[in-house]
Order: sequence, then structure tokens, then C-alpha cells
Amino acid sequence: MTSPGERIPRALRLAAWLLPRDAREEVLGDLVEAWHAREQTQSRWRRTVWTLRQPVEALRARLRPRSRGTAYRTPPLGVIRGRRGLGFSWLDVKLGVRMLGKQPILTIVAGLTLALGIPSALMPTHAIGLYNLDLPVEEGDRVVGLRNWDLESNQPFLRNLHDFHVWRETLGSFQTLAAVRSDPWNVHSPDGRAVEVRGAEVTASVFPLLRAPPLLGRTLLAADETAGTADVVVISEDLWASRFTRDPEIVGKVVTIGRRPHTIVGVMPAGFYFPMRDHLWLPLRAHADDYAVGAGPDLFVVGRLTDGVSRSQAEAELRTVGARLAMEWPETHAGLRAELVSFPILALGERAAGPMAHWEVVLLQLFAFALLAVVCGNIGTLILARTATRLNEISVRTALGASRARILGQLFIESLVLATGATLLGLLIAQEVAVPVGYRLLEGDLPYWFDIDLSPQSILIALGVGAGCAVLAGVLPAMKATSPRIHQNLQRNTRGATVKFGALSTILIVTEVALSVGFLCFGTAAMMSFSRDRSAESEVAVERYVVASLRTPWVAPTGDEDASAYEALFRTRTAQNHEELRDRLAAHPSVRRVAMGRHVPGVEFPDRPIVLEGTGATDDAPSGWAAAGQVHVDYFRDMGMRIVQGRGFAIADVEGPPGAPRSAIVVNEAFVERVLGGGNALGRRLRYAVGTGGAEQWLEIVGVVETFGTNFTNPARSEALYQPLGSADLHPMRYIIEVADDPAAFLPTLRTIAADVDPEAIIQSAQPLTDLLALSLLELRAASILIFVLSAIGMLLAATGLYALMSFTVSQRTREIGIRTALGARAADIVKTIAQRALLQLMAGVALGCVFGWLILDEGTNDSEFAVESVPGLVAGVAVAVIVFSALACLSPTLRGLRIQPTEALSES
Amino acid sequence: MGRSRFGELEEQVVLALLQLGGESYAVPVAEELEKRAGRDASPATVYMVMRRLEEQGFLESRVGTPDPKRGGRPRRFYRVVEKAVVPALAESRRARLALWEGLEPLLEDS
Repeated sequence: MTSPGERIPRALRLAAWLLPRDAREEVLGDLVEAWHAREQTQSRWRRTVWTLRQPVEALRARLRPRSRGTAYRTPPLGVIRGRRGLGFSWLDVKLGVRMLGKQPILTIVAGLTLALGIPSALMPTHAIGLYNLDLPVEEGDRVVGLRNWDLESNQPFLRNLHDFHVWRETLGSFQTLAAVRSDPWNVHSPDGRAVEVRGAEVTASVFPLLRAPPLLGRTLLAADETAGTADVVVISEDLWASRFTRDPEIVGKVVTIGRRPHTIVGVMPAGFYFPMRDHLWLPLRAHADDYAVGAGPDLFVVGRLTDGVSRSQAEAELRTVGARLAMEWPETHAGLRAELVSFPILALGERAAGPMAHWEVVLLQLFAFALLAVVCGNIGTLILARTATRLNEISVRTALGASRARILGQLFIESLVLATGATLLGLLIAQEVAVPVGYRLLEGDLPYWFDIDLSPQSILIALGVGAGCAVLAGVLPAMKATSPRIHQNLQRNTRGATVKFGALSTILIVTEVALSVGFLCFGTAAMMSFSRDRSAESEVAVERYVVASLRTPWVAPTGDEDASAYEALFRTRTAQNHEELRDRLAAHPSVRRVAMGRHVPGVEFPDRPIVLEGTGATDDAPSGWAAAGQVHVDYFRDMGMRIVQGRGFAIADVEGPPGAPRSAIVVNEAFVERVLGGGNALGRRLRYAVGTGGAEQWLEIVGVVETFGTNFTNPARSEALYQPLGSADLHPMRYIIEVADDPAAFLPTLRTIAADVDPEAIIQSAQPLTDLLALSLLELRAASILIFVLSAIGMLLAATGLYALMSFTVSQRTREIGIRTALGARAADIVKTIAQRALLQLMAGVALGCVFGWLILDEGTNDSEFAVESVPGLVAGVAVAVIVFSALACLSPTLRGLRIQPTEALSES
Repeated sequence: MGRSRFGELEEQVVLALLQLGGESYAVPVAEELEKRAGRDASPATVYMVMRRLEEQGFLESRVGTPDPKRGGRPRRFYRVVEKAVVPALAESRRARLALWEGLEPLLEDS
């Protein structure tokens, strides 16, 4: 509904959402315009009030009857006069708010816990919601993706040029169909500089399909798709503003894209970047006649449903046509299933949404709800402790004629007020803190329709879950506290006139303590490992390096090339480009060395478990871990790395087609020392542990190189192995370049040299190595901070449970403590009475947690990411911290117990 | 054809539209209502009122071109259908004046 990048107050979006679907875009436009106008004329405060009023006004406008203009009056939400049934009233809400004020510690602890717990528990559902986002165009919910799904490889099959033509001719369920492919392009300035711009080749039908009129000029026409006609392009408003300074005469001007000059025929309005974040739209000139069935470029096919046709009807028709095509083209289509999916699922290549299609997310969601239930159980314990102190009040009200349902209702409203307030606070935190952080972390090539802001649906779901929490944490303890047995005993003033903490609360507290100790160990280790930049300890001068990728785009044959031989030509061209760029860079006076590979050493080498031949190691118990990178055969020569033993890679190591078994590997000295335990490495064989993405193929060590920059986050763990790549084996190819001066200043030169090598080739992700390193550390740091914060919340919960238990004990045993004090009991005995059970639970939890933490860290330190000097020391430190923190939480009820005077006990009697 | 009389807000919206030359969209109409009648109406309210007046045949609408100032969202312009609106306004004014007859001194006193 909205354009990304635009920061529109959520209240305005909500206001538009409350109106009929077909009015939303226009009303949101009106509200945005009025909001901007108020920027000039109103104070920030008045503008905020105006903004917050808009959803209410929109709702009133929606509910306004069709005649007379008299506002339709509904009773205020939730107020049902009279006292039948549960008989809720605003008074109960007021009393609920007052009770929260009377118990500030409970309110703060329970409120903050739920505020963090509820939005966190809903994250998996929110993530799934991203797959069902509508495109931000008019009636975007009617725009869907069509594709074939390869049942064998379990991946989308996108070479569907022939399918597209059949679908377009036969499917009646769609008003229009369009085909799109999105790619980066080089746009050249008059001064010869090339800039990478994402652009899409589209059929002209895409613009009417998306109901997207141009801001200037025209969109593409069907005639533009004909080969041999003039090359034309439509550009985005952003590009018009940034590259052409909003030139009003832009239509008709010429811009060089790739190798060819293109005439600009139109400018699209701001916020239109279909299909991903594209700024150029060129006519798609791939024709089915040029390709065999199942060949040709990868295409996204989108369609707009015909009015009155449902998605399931359209999908049924698509499946029927798909089945017919499978019979017509059995060689390519036998294993394909045609399906209708949302546009995000199409664009991201995800599996189609079904009840269990994303089972791992469903599982995660169930796990999150289970955790939330534990949280609610703990808050329930707190509320039960508080309710137990109100037994007399409850009895009096019962005596005055209040039914059990009425009392339950009031206690429920109290917890509902707490849960609703906490949910709203949690949503505020999510929107104002988590969402901006999310955008920051995801910054880059986000599709324009990607929107992680909270939707009105998410808000409603969160409020519903909040109400569920209120039931779990409020009603169940209330039922226990108001059970008829307790009141009969109260009437007789006998034993049993009290509520008890059962085994469930013990299990909860022990589990929470154990989990918090375990995860705190993990979180602390992660924080210690990633909190500082350790690249300075590496032997590589990272501040002098530039990294970049060279991507040679796949371009449709122009007519003078044979389509069937195009793939071989493309491989040759790719290899030439890769080598020529490397050689030209190496010849540049500013460049000290340049090398190629799939992974940037020190940052991108993935860690893999290794099984050495003849050592008895297995997939489950590997010989060790090492950073495993794929590098160009000339990598060691180009990087100036010394071969210590054996040889480096040779062309013979990469001969054969791509994907053919290649067994030669080179390892570094650290690998020989730590994984092989020294000795002669040559000829030794190893493989990656199965189930970690590695083939079962054995690899043979043919050489040993010096240890050089394989792990910047923890240089102490630098064991690495290298696999060879040929020049044509990879596109895009990664370059690592050492320069004499400032790496950032070299980037324009790099682009110029690359454009000179091949005007269509794209330099991607060019940046100083330090930036790449900072980004990888940022992600690790954000993850470790998140783990640490969640563990700290767990610790807070555990301490809260202990506090509740002790407070409850003191309340229940006031008379006993007073009498024992009168009889001369020592303070130590009183403390034992109060704290014995809590201490036992704490110690049991800490002991279990230490074992858990030890296991996690033992595993974590094996994979070379954690830099923890002493695992036992860390575990012990965390255990002590948890004990001290919990003891502090227990201090207040203990002191209260010690202050009980015999007179107090007598007065209670 | 729709009803022959308006509610108060409907009448004010139609009058504001006429003051704006007979054709406009929600934001200027809301501003006009505030300027002339001191009525602080939300653009969403005005939009919905005009949409209903259109359903009743008092207004006609067209969609404008997308505007970057509004994030590329289009405006919906509403135009008064004079043939339908003028008799309804006349009726409304007549009824109001008839009710006011002889009551003007009240205003002078206040």
C-alpha cells in the first residue's frame, strides 16, 4: 500500500487501512499531503495530535450511515451495562489500573517481560507474513505470480519462455500476463564512467497490469519488443532525479546502457521499482522461436486476476494447462508442477505457502509460543502470590453476594489491563526500535515491496495473544485462589485455607535458572569474541585492501549468435573478462597485488568439519574444523603466498566440465599444525563431514602454503584449506586487491578499468575490506547482543520467580515466623524458613545450567568463531553472577520476614 | 437520483466544493471547511463523504495523475453535478430560512 523508503506515520497507514480497500491508496495520499502541509503551519505537538486522531476519524467516517450525516453511535468498547454474567464494567478496568499502581514491582517486571515476550513470540508469524505481502500497486492483492516448480530438485524452474506464451494465449483467469527478468546493468555517463543500476527487461504488458501510468512520457509498447526496432528505456523517478537532475526535457534523450545507446521514452513515478528495486525498464526481446522448450532466460511471470475470479479458480486452470504441457513436452515438463504464488514467493524463489510449507517456521512459532507460555506461567506465579494475599478481600466479597464468576472476571480484567498495556508497549518498542534496526541490518538490495513494519493485522494478532496471556497468567491462578475448597476452609479458619505453589512452579523456576545460565554463557562468550576488532592482530594489512565482484551479465543472443552455442560463448567471454580485469589491475601503478576466488579470505571462508582418512574420525566426530575457501588456480602466486611444501594449484587441477570431481587441495601451515598434528601433509586425504553441505568425495593435499589472513575475527584460529577454481568456473568472480593508497579512492578507478574490459560487465559490492569486515562483525555483534539480552531477560524471569516464591512464603507464614521470633528463634533460622525452598531451586537450576553452558561452549569453541580463553572460568563467572543477582532479588522478602514482630503475628490471628 | 436533502456535513462539503470552483479533492476541501466554517474535518472523512455523495449522484469523480509529493499516489478529484445539487441545496436553504423566520433577534441579543 505504501512506498518503501517513505516514513509515513503508522497512524496514517492505519487510518487508510480502516477504509474500503479501493479507497486506501487515495486516502493515504490525501493524508500524507495534509500531513506534509502541517509541517509548515503547525507545531510538532499539534501535528502529532492531528496524526493520532486520523484513525479515529477514519473509523467514524467508515461507520457513518449513508444518510443525514448523523454520526452512528456505538456503545463504548466493552461496556455492557448491567451485572449479568461476568458483568465487566469500566469500573473493573479502573480497579485493574489501580491494582497495578499498588504493586509497582510486579507491574514493572511482569509488564516488561510481556512487552518483550509477546512481540518476540510473534516474529515467526510476522516473517511468514512477508511472503504474503501485496505489491504496492492499485489492487495489489489481485496480482499474483505464475511459475513451474521442479518437483525433483525442489526448486523453481524459471526457464519458462514457452510456458509464458501458452499461458498468455490460453488462461482466461487473468486479465493480463507479463514476463520480467531483473538484472544489474551498467549505465554510462558522458564522461565514460559506468554506474551499476538494477533494471528489468519486461514485456510491455507489465505497466497496464500494475496499473502504473508514467510520470513523464510513455511506458513501453508491444512494438518495442520487436527485434530491430530502436532501443528504448523507461527510467525511475529516482534515476531521473539523481542522474538527470529532473531535466523536464528528459524524454527523447539518449543514455548508454551496456553496449548500446537507448532512448529514454518515459519516467515512472516515485515509489515504483518493480520487480525488485529496479530503476530501468527495457523491452524484453526474448522470443520463444529462438529457444528450445525449457531453454532461454529465467523469467518471472506475473498476472492480474480477472474480476470475479478467485485465486483457487485461477490456480485450478493453471494446473490443468500445466498438466497438458507436461504431456506435450514430457522431456522438460514431466517433473514440473505449475502453480500460483504470491509475488514475494515468486521473487524470492521460496516454496509455495501452504499450511506446512514452511514447517520449520511453524515449528519455531510453536517453540516461541511454548516459551511464551513459560513466561506466562512465571507471571502467573507472581499473580498467584499476590492473589493469595487478597484471600480475605475475596472472601468478604463472596460473603456480600459476588459470584465466583464475577470475582474471576475482575481478576481477569486486572491481568488483561496488564497484558494489554504490556502488548502496546511491546509493539511500540518493536516499531520504534526493532523495525529500524531490522532495516539497518537488511540495508542493501531490499525489494521495494519489502515491508517489515507492523501491519494492522500484526497489531491485532499481538493484542489477541496478549489477551491469551492474560487468561494464562491471570485466570488460572485466580481459579486456584477462588476454589470453593479454600473458601470452605477459610470459613472454618482451618489449615488448607491457603493456596500452594505446586511442583509446576518448581519446574518452571529450575528450568528458567538453568536456561538463563546456559544462554548467558553463550551470550557472554559471543560478546567477548566479537566485541573488539581483532583484524589488527592478523598478518594482513586489511586497511589497504579492496574487495569487489565482477559479474558478466547473461545477454540474450542478438541474432548473429547461435542461441544453442551461446552458453559456450558466454563461458569463454566470462573467463576472458575475469583474467583481463585481473591482468589490467595488476598492471595499474596503484595496485600491489590482485587475486581471484569465490570467497574473500579472512571474512567469507565458511567453516567446515573435516574427516581425515585413517584417523577413525567420523561424520559425527570429525577430526577438526577449518576455513574452506575456493580460490583461483593462480591465487597463491597472485597473493605472493609462499609454498612451504609440495606445489600450488595448476591448470590441470581444474580441467573438465564445471561440477566434475576435483580432488587437489592445498592447506596452510596452521592446518598442518592443528588439524594434522604436524608431519608430512602431502598425499594425505580428507573429506568434509557428510551432512554439512560437503560431498563424500575424498580430497588430496598437494601442497602447503604459509598461513596468511584466513580469519580476521579470531586470528588464533587460522587453519584453512583451499580448493581450486578455473577462470570460467564462477560468475560473479570475487577480487581481492591490495592498493598502495586509500582503498576507497581506488573504487572509481576499478569501475573505469572494468567498464573498459567489458562495457556490459558489472562491478558489484566494491568496497574497502575494512567495510566488509565491519559489516560481518556488525551482524555477529547484533546477534551476540540479542542472545545476551534474551539471556538476561531469562535471568530476570528466574529471579522474579524466586522473588515471588519468597514473598509468598513470607505472606503465608507470617504468623509462624512471629511466634518463632517470640520463642527466641535466631535470624539464621528464620532466613532458613523463608529461603530454603528458593535456595534449593536456585542451586538445582545453576547446576543444570552450568552443564548446559559447558556443552554449548565446548561445541562453540570448536568451530573457530569463539575466542574464549577459559570455558570453566566463564561458566563459573556466569553462575556466580546469576546467584548474586537472584540473591539480590530475594533480599527484600527476606528482610521483610526478619522484621516480622510477634505482635504482628498476634494481630493476624 | 439520490435523496433530495443533505446532512449537515454533506451540505458543507458540497458548498466548500462549489467555493473551490466546483471541482477539487479531499485535502483542499478539508482546508476550505476549516477556513470558512471552522470545522476541523479529516481528509479521510471528507473523502468518504464525497464518495457517498458520488454514489447518490450528487458528484462525479476522476483520478488524477500520480504525484511524487504524495509518494506517487493519485488524487481523486470530485466535481459537483449541478443539476442534482442545486435543487437539494435550495431545498435545504429554504427549510433552514423557514425555521429561522422571526428568530433573528435572538442572535442580536447574544
